[in-house]
Amino acid sequence: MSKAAAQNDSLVQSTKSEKNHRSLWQDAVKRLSKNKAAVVSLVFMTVVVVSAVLGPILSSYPYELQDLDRINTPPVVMDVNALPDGIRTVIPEDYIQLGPIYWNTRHWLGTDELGRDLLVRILYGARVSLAVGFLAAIVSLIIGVLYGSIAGYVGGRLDNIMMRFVDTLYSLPFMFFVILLMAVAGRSFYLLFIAIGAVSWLTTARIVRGQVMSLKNSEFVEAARASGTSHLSIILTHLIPNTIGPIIVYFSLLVPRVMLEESFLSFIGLGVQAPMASWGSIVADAQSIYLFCPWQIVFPGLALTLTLFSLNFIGDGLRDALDPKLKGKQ
Amino acid sequence: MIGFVLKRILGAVVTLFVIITLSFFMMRLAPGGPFSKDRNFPPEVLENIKKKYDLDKPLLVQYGLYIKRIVVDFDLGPSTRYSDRSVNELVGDGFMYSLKVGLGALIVALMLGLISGLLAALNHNKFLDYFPMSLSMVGISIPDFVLANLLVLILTQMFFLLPAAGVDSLAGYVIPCFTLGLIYASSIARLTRGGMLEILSQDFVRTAKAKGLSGSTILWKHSLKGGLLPVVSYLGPATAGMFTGGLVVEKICFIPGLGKLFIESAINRDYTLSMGCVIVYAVLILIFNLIVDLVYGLLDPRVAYE
Amino acid sequence: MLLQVKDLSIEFRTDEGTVRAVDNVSFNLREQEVLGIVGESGSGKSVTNLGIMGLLPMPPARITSGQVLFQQQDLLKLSEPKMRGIRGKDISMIFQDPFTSLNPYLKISTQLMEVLQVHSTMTPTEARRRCLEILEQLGVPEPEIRFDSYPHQLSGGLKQRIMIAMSLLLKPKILIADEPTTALDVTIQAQILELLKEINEKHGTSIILITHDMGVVAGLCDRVMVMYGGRIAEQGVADDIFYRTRHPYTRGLLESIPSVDIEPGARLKPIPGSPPDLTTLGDECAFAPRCQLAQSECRSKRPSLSRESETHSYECFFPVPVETTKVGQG
Repeated sequence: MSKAAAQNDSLVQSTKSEKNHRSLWQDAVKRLSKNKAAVVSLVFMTVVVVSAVLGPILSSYPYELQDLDRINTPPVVMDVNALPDGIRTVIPEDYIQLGPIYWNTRHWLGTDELGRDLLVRILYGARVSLAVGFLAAIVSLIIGVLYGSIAGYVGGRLDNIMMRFVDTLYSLPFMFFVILLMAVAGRSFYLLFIAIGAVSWLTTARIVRGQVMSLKNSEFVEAARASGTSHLSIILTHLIPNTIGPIIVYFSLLVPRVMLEESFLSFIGLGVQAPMASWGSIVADAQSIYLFCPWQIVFPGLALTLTLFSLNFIGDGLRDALDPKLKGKQ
Repeated sequence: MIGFVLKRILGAVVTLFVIITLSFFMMRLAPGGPFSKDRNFPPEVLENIKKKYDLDKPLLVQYGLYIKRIVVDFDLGPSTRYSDRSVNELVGDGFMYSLKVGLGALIVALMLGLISGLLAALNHNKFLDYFPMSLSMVGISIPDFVLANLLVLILTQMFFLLPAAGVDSLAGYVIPCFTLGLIYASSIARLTRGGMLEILSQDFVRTAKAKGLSGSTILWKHSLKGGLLPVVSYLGPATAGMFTGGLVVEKICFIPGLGKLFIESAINRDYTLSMGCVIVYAVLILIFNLIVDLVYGLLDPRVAYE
Repeated sequence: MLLQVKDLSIEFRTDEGTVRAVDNVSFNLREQEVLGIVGESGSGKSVTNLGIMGLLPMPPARITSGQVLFQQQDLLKLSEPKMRGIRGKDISMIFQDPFTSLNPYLKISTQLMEVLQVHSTMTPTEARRRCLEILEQLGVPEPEIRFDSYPHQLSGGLKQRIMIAMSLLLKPKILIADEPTTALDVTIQAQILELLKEINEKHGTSIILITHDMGVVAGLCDRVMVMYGGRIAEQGVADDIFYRTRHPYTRGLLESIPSVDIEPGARLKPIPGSPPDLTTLGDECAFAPRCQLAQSECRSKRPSLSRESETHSYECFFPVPVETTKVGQG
């Protein structure tokens, strides 16, 4: 920000602040609600979560139900009576005509190579992908917050050693360790989010440490210490709550990153295992035939991309809302 | 300066050692091995094979032998899966393919990323800012395997272009290079924009204006150096990432590069081969990080080499 | 008359509303004089001068009316390339913070020489000689070593000297100094002010000195202009302002300066209240809410300009009677 603009800003702020005394959070919510991209993304994510929870319950097809008479049925076809090509199956009574095309009323988004309903699988995959994303992000958050706040609060030599360790881990090629780990230790759902969570806590730790360092010498912490509050309770009741803003921002950007990693692992066959499905594994299942059955890749790919897209916009919006100084800069 | 480089190289060697050790024990400590799966060998044959790969010896001895072979002979050992080929050969071949993909991707990423980032910064809060930044958000959000597949679908199905994949012709490289390039371009664009906006709002840019310098002088001479520093830092890991091919893009596009090799070897528990891949990756990352540190120091005079 | 500013008004568009940062400001700058512009932050003094230089970020700034006449041309109407020819050559500017005003990525030599490259036809050797000459004149020790340094290798006082050298390379007619000493230590402040005085006397450069410090003004300026709320409260020769104060705000400023000859135990008199909100300031006296002499008229109408003498004018309905004026420093 240029000096003139800064002066102008401080001028506006100094004259405004007394009139409208709103809390940081009210301000943040107000700013967030002005951010159209973030609001649209929030609405979209609500729809995704609700349909992920309700969709598989309401659907008449379980996600693992195979219908071998209806292998690779397309969602739309130009002609229901065309000869089957040996890969796709088209059963005319499933389709109704809608203008120039025929629309599959039985399986709205078609079926996969085992005749499973793609829509249900995508909705079910949403559960898995979102769950892994949030759980792994939470795992990494807990590790990072504890590690970072201890290092920052204790300081000195311990801090030095702890952060040197983080620096070393930073220089390791993580995805490789996760791949090796998943490959050699077997592929379990829990291991998946522990593995991802365990390798993505480093940045959280750094952010929290920095915040704690700057807070620990502030008057209110001195006061708590002087009145005999224990170290643990100072960390838990004074320091961590005050680092919550940056943590929320980082968490919201961590979730899509973790989901991306999960989808990647599932895609290469090291993530969730059949018959469970995540968006990554659904795309992987279609890998050999997608030139003939593009819907099997386009729909789950679209679901994944749109979800990550909205989560990133929400994270960006939160950052702008909670730290207006950064707005539009990063 | 030389002291700085030596110190960094020493640090890199230590890191490399940690990586080798960690991955070695991670692979060996897990139950099962390269020969426990699908192949049913007679016990005496299995003994012979194990002898060949030193698998009959205690773990620590295996580790010592492995380290000695790498350090003394630069030999990554024989592949446990492809019995007639050494890991050095396999990794060398794979690396050549990955190098081509990586170079292509780097060119795409830098051109698109820098240009759109600069455009966005110079048109802050206008259409030319919002449009490329929204696109780059798509690039950051889209998984590489989805983008690669979509590009294949679009080019082959809608425009009837390109043979689908393979390394026999130049066309086979188009999709992997663009997939990786577009994804990294998105991050580069955002970093370029952020860095340039930060610099353009600095007091010294106003000083430059007050001196009567033209807009282009201010941009090229006064702003670019500082504004691109975030991109330079990012280029270390990014270049390593692109040169190693992106793990799945190679698989989708049938490029027998390092990434494909690594994933297959990890799944097949080909100890020596996956270790070899990890080592090559790690060395690449460390080299690029060192280069980035040096370039950073050249650009920012405030960085002191200690 | 070297520079004439007529009815200059500048607005900022912000999220909170439109800020009238400069409201109908008129003043002149004569040959070889030092004009002090005094006011608190947000009074419009910096914005006025950035407006003269054409350095305001537009948007959010907008010049809504006025003329800036320099050498028979209106600077506000000049094309950007023509204006570039004036900036740094005829009118140059130095800024508050020498720590951020020099480019940390470029050598001092580059930053000095480029001024000559742009505005003159000097050869590199001549340009180098001129730079070293001016550094020496400005009392930079070991100029050749400093010339080849990067900014971070110099102290704050030296950086400000470099900034001043940069602005004087082409012997400009006007030097605008925007709080040139605020970021410096007190002893260095005195040196820099001394330097400005010397420049004015030796080279006959007219100087506009922007400051919030009445003490600085007293020592240096021939004429003084007091700004409040984007308007000129009072202007006159230094003696008018210090000994024949008419505007209650000027008196408030003078009374709030600590001075050596103040009686022991006496208290400084701060001006109560805070600066006006320029988004809502309408047609009234900007100072009225803080003014002890204010009456209902002050809150409904903006006072017109009253001329006290040839040199002295102010905007106030109920000025301070001359005889009660306290003497500040001078």
